Amino acid sequence: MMAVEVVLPALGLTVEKGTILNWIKKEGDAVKKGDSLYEVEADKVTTEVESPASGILRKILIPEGIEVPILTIVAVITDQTESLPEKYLTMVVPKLEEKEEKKEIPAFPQAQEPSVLVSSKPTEIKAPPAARQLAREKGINLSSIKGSGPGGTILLKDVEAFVTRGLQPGPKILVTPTARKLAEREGISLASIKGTGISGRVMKADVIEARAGVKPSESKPAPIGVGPPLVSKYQLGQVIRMNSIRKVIAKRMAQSKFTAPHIYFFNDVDMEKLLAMREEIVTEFEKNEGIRISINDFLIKAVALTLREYPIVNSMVSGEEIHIFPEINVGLAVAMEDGLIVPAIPKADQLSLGEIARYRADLVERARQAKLTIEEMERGTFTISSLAQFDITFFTAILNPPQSGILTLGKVEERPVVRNGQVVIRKMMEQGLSVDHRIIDGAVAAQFLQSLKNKLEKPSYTFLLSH
Amino acid sequence: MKGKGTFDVIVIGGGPGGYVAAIRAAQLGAKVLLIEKDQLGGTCVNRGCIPTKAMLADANLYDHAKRSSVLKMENLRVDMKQLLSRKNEVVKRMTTGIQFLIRNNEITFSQGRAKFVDRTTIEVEGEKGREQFNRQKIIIATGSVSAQIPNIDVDGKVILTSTEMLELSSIPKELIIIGGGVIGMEFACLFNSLGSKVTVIEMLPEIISTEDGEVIRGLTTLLKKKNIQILTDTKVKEAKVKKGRAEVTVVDKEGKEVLFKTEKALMAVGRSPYADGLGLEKINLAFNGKFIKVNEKMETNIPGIYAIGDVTGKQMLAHKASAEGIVAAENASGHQTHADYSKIPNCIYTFPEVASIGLTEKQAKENGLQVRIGRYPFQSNGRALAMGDSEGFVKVIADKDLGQVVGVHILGGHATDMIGGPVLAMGLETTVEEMGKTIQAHPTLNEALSEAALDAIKEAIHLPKKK
Repeated sequence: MMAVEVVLPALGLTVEKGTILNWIKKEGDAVKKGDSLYEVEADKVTTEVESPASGILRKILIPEGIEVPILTIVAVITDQTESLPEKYLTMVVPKLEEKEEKKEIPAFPQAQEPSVLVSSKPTEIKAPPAARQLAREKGINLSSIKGSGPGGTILLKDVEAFVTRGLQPGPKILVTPTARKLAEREGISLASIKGTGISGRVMKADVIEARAGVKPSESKPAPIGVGPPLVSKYQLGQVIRMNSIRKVIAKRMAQSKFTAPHIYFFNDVDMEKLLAMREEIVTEFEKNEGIRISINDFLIKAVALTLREYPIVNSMVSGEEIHIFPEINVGLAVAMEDGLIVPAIPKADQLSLGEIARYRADLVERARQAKLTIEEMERGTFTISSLAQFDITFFTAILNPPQSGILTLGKVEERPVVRNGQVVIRKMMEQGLSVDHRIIDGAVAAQFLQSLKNKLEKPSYTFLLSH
Repeated sequence: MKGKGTFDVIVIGGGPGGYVAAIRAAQLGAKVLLIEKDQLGGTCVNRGCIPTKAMLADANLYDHAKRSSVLKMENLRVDMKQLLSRKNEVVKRMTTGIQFLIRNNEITFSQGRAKFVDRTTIEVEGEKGREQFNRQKIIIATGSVSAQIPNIDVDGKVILTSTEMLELSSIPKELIIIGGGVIGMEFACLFNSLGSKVTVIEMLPEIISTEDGEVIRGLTTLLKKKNIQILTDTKVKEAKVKKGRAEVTVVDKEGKEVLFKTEKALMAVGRSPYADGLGLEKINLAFNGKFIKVNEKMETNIPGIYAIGDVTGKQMLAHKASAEGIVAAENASGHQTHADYSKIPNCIYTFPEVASIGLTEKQAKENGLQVRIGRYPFQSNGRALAMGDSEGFVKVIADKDLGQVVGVHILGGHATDMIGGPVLAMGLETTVEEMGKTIQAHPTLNEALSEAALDAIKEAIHLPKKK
């Protein structure tokens, strides 16, 4: 048997890192595939990770209390007779020193120990594999970085900060003082900028160009799946390694698209009454509920009510079974600088508009701070994706697995429509529904969309009891 | 016809643009032919930059000796014959040096007048007869000549161009200079120091209008103190030679006609591009006014034909022509390079000198930049005082936002030698903080650079406190 690598699994779309709390198995223990190997904590949620293979837990690379990015190799399993392949030895991260309080999970940023310059002897440099890998990619000598972790351990963030500052002495990032200042201020990583100066030196103009691609505001998500234009920050001919989030997205999107045959439906919705209704109640609502209601809150509620009528759209495929979800949890696709997250409002069908608005505001705010929990990310049973802030009339979306339905919303615009034989101008919105055709028939999807349209066009009755 | 050679690159014109282009192309492996009708080195080495600087050096020495309260020299006088022969010696050293470099780089040299036969064939008419050469790429670097204007009868004896001025065997008692640009003002200082009574006539409200206004006002004041008469807003109506003297009629500020009678007059109203006899009309080369039209890769409208230097206009500077020569040679050799005109220094060898790089205060404001300005007078610089040469100042213009140095202007005895540091600093997009904190040796004039930069952030050490 070949050595099997144990990796920190992807713990949810938002999760980039996890801290190993506890190794349930010890080095040298015999393990069976499916045995719990270790406990990992990410975003305050603890999960046990199962062994991917049977054999001997030959080497633990990441000791307890260390935070590493997802997909990091944390241990190696071999068979009885096999010894540890040598390449893994360089990946071993030293244990935290005894005086460190292990029980208090040492999220490194809070480490109290003063920073110390790491010895220049390479064998004495403490750095987790992710930090080593980034340093290797950027051609940075670890000995030139000051570690901020316990015992001077060089953390990934130290390397990243080093790269951003462009401080490494090597020839990899040449940058002018003005360009560095501008990049620091704009929060643009110098490593991501292709310099056009002599020997590739990053000049001010290069930073300005990069800034045009990645505005700082773009790192902040906007409500319901929209962000400012994501102008390309990339260069022609560039080769980009996917980061862990992108890898997860790529895998899930491909899995969804190739597993579930999608079908798409569209109709248009007259938004006049709903917009007028919101206009009418917004001030009083804010006074009483303490939150400014948005059109999205009405949409979430209307979708939840429609899902109650068509539970099949609120379901998932499991082998040869269809599992209808017990709750109606409406997810909102939120664009991040790199990727997408979908926090969900639980039991939205049972919540008042005020509760929905507060949930929505809170989830978006914490998405902005990357403080969502795995549970909030994974509880969704149906997703709404809106590009209403863009000049997009309608679009199709790929299902967010394991869900079977996703609603897409285009912009609201004034359009000529026929009412009572007259052409009149109305504020219209195009809505689309993508469903998994394995379990949802076209007629059902059409009825769902028709029902949703009715709810939005007759808001007084729809929302009569739901404020 | 004496034979037919085929070259990778043919360069027409052996001035600072052409010979540099030829050497660069040869460095990149091209088989190069360089054609020059006269002397290698062009206007710069033979009739411009170099000979004037040789003469100015002697004049400067004489000026200092005359003004010295320490040197006691009876009957101090200038030997014009010696002055001219030293100048000629310098020119010869320079042209010999260029000839060596051309041979050393295995460039074929052809003396004669070049003419386009068609877009790929050049004919050279020299003493040995006519020769035709085929080319892959051609670089036109034919330079410029003194501009002429109607009603000014340049005879080369009384009314002269700069070329004849360099051969004057005696010092004229009076000299009228038509044109207060760089060339006019350098000759004004040269002959003023040698003892001529100099009058400068300038059409515009300021002399050398391309430089920073504050510097030019300072220079004008200093030159007037040396008894150089400067008439601005004054137009020359006509200039005629009568009875061996020049009669120059001008229209002054008030619109009044004034007649000046003078021993010599210098016509210095700028330079015109020179491409006579090249047969450019035959190949349909595109022009931009009088100048050959090129893009930032120095390409003309005809593929494979490049043009550089004065014949293309913009700033008529030897170092700009050389820089363009390198760009043209590299593009002709299959590389991709572009000319950057934002960081070309200007040097004016008046007494005192003027040197600058980047934006003037006016240009910065016209570009919508918020600026911080620092100044430092040589009066407060120990070395300048010790040398008895403490006129003038350093002015640093920085972008208020990032602190990037966008312009440096120096008026002072050694300004042209001091500009090298700022040129490098601006090329690397230095900020005022770095320029100010650079440790300059003491006592040197360069300390004024750091202090002026610090003054821009109100931190100059040797200036009164700024609020």
